[in-house]
Amino acid sequence: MKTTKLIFKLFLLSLVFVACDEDTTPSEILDTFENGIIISAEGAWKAKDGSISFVSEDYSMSTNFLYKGVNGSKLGGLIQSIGFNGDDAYIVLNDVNTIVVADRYTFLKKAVITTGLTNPRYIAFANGKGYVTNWGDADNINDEFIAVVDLESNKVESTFSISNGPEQIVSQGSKLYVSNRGGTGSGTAYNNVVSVIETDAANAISTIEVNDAPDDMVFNAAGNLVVLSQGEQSSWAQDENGIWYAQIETTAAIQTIDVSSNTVSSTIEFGVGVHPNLLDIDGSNIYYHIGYIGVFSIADDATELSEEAAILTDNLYGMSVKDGKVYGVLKTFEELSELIITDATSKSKLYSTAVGLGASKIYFNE
Amino acid sequence: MDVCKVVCFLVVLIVFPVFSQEKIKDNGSLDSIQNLNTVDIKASKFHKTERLGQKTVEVSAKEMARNPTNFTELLRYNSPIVFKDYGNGGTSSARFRGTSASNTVVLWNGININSVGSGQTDFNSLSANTADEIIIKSGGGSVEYGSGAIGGTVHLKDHLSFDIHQNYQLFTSYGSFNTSSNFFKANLGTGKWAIKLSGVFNSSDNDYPFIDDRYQDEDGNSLKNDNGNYINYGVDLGIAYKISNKNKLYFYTTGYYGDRLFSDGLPNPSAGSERNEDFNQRNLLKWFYRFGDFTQIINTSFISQEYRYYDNKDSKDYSFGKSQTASINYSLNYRFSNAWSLKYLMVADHINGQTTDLVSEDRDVFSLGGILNYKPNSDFIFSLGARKEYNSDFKVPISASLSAEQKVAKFIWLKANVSANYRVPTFNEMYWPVVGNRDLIPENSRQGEFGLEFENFGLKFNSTLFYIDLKDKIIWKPAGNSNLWTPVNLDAAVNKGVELFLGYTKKIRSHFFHFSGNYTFTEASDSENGRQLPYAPKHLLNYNLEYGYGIAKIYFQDLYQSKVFTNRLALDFYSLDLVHVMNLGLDISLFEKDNTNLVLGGKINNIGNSLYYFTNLRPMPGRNYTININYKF
Repeated sequence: MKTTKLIFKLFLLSLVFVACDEDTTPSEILDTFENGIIISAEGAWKAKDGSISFVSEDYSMSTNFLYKGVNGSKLGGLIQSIGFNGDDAYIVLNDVNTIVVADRYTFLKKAVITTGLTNPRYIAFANGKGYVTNWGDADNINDEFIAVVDLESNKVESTFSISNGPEQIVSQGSKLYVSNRGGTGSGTAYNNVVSVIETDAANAISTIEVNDAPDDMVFNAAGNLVVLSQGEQSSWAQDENGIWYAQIETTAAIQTIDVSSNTVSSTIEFGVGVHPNLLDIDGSNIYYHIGYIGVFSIADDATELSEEAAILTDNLYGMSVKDGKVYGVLKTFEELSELIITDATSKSKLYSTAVGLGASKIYFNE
Repeated sequence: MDVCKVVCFLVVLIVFPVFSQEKIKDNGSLDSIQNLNTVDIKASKFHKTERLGQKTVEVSAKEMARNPTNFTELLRYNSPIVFKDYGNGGTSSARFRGTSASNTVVLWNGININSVGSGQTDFNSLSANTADEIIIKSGGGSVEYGSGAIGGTVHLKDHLSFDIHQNYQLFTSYGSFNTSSNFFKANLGTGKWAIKLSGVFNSSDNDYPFIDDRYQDEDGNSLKNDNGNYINYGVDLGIAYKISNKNKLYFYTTGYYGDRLFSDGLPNPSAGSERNEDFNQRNLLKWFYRFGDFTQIINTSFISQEYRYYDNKDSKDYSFGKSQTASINYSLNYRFSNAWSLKYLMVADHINGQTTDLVSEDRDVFSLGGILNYKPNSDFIFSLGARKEYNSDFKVPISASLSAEQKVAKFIWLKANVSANYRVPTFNEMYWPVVGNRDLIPENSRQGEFGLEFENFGLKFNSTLFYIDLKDKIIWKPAGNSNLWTPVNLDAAVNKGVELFLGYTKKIRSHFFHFSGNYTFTEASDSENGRQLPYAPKHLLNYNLEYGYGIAKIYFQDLYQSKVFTNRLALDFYSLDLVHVMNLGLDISLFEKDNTNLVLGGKINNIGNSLYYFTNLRPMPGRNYTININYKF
């Protein structure tokens, strides 16, 4: 019997030792998120763990998972984007057909929109209303729509159809511009138009043809719209060595739309097989990003692409540029993402920190 | 710390009866003479060669009647397995000892029925209520069961007995959310023939209210589990013919159909639109033949499995995955002396898999194995085995196993097992368009366990220390310049811990007392960064406590699972809170005579109405009720 007892004592000891070695210390929790950078992270696909991070302007404070910290519950979806209107942040949760409305400075939940959205992507504001792009059923290219949100009741009051794959949406006065990227479901077609919606003319829609897969859109200093069309890369097939390649390859371009005539006034095309994924404007400079190469800068009246990258990067998933600083988040879905702030002129890294899993968008909260 | 208290309490609770067993012997031996006999029979069964050196738990028919809704729920309260299900009734995967779901093998009458595509079994698309025997075996077993037997194996067996008998069972239950679980079973034996026929039918609206009040709809109303209905049914038939005692033929066939909607959970259940259908069909022909000191068994099986997944339940468009596996499994056992025997194994499989996007792929597998058993006396058993698999897709390392059991004192056995096991890459991992990786190699493990077992006086106790070193673990990672995830042999993990089982039965005149419980402590960590692996709780405890007086039995079920991480970051934000659920039930035996027994049961599930999750934001039901009738004749 002695051996038995000894063995049990060993079990007992090992159990208690391994079980008691963890201890966590509470960390400081911020409660307002003014004067700094807001980073939204998608989270992993279908895992409902999108999160929001904040970094103060002087980089002295940062916090991750702030919505959960403030509200005690997760947002509960993949954060596609955030739209800001006055004091309100409209957090668009793509996979759960939901928009969470929160105070943009405290991030306390104010309302939730749970009906009238299907695969929502981005929101813009005009005419006292919110306009949300929706892909609809991912495998159906004919059911895409814009949902109109009553900003008083925070409910979808009406919807209207739009061309395939509506992605980003921006407003200028009573006009809305939508980049119709297309390619919303596996095997579905890419699109090549920017839709113009006249909100003061019964949401009449006209379209402007651009290169394939238009996505990021930013107004330049003159008030004209700069569009990044990524070009199509699809219909994957295997060659004789079993290597997958895209059978369909079309050209990417940076195009400027003259908003007075709603026509393309300039087109700068990329080389074959080059697919830039991000674009932003700072002052009179356009910044664009090509994965695994870097961020390039050109003047907003340039007619040619830049030969040399302004900043070398790995693969960015999100990028914003402000006051000569490039804010980028690295693309990773298995470790926390990294926010890197770089001075565009000196190319020196100013700051970096870990932010939520799958970080994708960077906003400025002043 | 709370965790420490729980552990200390558990250790005291579990160790105490063993230290004080001498007392039990002194006081209890007279009362438990009847129990003693039955336990002894079980004890000899316990040291069967196929379970040598390893820890096993058996789930009885009584337990099936108490958790009939699905297989996940049954095992959640009766085994050391950790389950991850996507909401109540959604797809469910099983993990032993902190390993991954594809390291758990489910065997139906000895045949591996894991999905060819995913390498896992969905425990909510399997009818286990009609099985005659469910055995949960922890630990490695590739020598015997082939690919995937690293964490453990779950065995579902149908009994075909030639003894002259006729047993019938009818079970029906109805409960909250329009949930109904039903099955019937008929087992017959005529001396020459043995027949088993059974059927199962389950359905539920499954529209339980979500008790997580942090989330509401846009009008401030509480939410419920929309889009969660399910219906499933299955039939099993087994026929056996005894040509002679040495020459027997068995045939088993089973069909299953399941139609489920997948709920979306929080924060917006109305976003749910997915539907899934399962079609499973399995056939097995077994020939048992003994000549001289040789026993040979030939199993010929054909299994087909198919799922159809509808992204939009109202649409007719679906994506599918289907597979056919044809297999011949030959074993020859030669007993060349009273102490020594040798088993020779030969398995040939042909597997075909197809999905919507993937052209048909084939795989041929041929395995050879041998197991040497040595049992010089009734106190010592030793076994040594090896298996080599030849696979048309890649090289498979040799698996090997060494087991021994030694009786060290009256009613006390020490058990030890060391083994090397493997898990071959699945069809999805290898062939999925664009992301499939044809360069994958099998996962492989070195593992060992050491256990102590006590069984007598109505008390059964088992404690097993385990250690698993897993290499070339296949995980999905984002690849290159795209948002595509592709599987790679990247990871290494070490899982170690202890599994405890305690069972105790006591009958004094009209009083009946029964306890059975499992506790597992697991430390499963990534070898590279030391982080705790996802969905591997440190503590898992479940137990059933039962008291009976006369015709009434009252029972209590308890489940405790500590916090789990939902991804490899091991951060609190990406975790699920600890789970603690309790159920309370009452069975009343209305009629009991000879072989006839009519039991009326009622049960309150989740009596504390506690909020618990097994996947992020898919809450499980709050307090709910079921009643059932269990009629055996």
